[in-house]
Amino acid sequence: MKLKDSFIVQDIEDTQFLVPLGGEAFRGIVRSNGTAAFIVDCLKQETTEKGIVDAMCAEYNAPREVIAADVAEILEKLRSIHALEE
Amino acid sequence: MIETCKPDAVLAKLVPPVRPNPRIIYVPSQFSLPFEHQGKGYCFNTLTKQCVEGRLPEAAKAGEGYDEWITGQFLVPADKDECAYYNQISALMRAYSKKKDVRGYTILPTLGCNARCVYCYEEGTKPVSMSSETVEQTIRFIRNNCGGSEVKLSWFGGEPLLRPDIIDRICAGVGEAGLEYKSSMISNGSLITPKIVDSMAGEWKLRHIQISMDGAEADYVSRKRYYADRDHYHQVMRAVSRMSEAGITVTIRCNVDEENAGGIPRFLDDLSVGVAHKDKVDIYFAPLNAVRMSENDLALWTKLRDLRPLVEGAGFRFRPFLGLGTAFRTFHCMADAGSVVVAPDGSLYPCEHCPPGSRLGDIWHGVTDESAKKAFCRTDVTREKCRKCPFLPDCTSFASCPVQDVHCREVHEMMAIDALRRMVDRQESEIGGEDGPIC
Repeated sequence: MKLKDSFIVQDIEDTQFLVPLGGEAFRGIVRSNGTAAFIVDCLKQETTEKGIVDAMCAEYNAPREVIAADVAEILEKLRSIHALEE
Repeated sequence: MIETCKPDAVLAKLVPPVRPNPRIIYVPSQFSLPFEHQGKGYCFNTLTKQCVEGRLPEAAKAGEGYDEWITGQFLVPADKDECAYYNQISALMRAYSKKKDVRGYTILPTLGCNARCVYCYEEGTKPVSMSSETVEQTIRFIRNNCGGSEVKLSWFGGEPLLRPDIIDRICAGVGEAGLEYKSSMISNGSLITPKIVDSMAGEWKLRHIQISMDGAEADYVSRKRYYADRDHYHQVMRAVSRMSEAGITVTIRCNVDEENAGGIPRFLDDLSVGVAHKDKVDIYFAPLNAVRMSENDLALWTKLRDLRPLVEGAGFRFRPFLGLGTAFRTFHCMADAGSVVVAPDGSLYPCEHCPPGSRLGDIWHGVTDESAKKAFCRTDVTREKCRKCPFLPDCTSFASCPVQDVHCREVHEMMAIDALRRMVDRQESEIGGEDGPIC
């Protein structure tokens, strides 16, 4: 899976924003928290859900099942706005 | 903190909230514009557009009574790169507002003109007009690129009214394609007849026109230098009146330098007598480029600012050449807003000045040189003189813009503070001095 080219990522100071370009049904701006921003960064390249969980486990000191649940939740939100190419 | 103008609502939602940090020393933001009015201090933030009553400290820490100034970004960390911060916000707003389709088309039916204005930047260009093939392909180009949305046609030239037949055909073609459209025009006004006004209000769906008039009659004649020897001065005034009666909003652009500035009161007298629906007419005074690029422009700018009472006294609306934005300005001109210029030979450009090297493609092949557009409207490079300017958010944000004013900062400040003081006055007269937002 990968972030669609029609969504761009823009950082303002320490905050990451996800913005749809014209043509997408979703017409909002997503302001990501730290976890979501990490996941969005992973999705800039082709990856898998497992790959993202692995990357987060290497970065954050938290139980794998907690991280996996967070990743699943964020991916579901990104799917709901059609931001993913799968 | 008493607020006299609320911050831009979109930006307020978007920008990450600032939390005052007691370990940081905060200093006035480059976007903080302090001003005095009737013995009170005020401060306007040119980025967020919030205006508050009070005086900025030279420096402050969190908890010293200035936390609202910190969260409102009137005070920022001393080491903050505010130009980079503005560019990040601007990039976000542009991405969000960018449309996939081209909605705006500035069309140059001809580069020919019946005048020879002394200040014309197109002097020396060949007076070519669109061929019928180019006209038909322009219609197809619009149909294929507008995404079915309402199209905005802007007629420019040369003098576009030398070829009303081209305007007729393109409007008809766009209408036959089932597209909604409206149009605007920049013209010298000298070829406007009652029949043309009918076309404007009818088939052309003209909502707005800008007419250039350059002061009192003698100045007008000597500056416009029409080929034909006719009474264009009064003819244009009659045309302004007819258009205002037809419901078309008219902006009169008066190109000024020190030589014709003195005749403006006479010009306003003449215009006042000749125009019926003054509420449809606004006037703005634009210093000639040669003045704007010279060291001696400030006196003229001051004179032009002070013409407001005269214009309003004559019954017209005064439109400042540099206004005060009270909403975040995402796009600054046609070049960065995603519209396109169609030249008489069918070439596409990002800007009506058609700068050499900025040709994007043509109406037969579409935009074939995306890199030319990206290079022309590149927003990540800010001119060095603009990096610390408080008016960066209200100015063209791309370095290739052909406009180069010498004292732009001083002029912006003079105009902005004038507008802010009037805003405060308006607030006091509207709500009897009580606190509350006014814009």
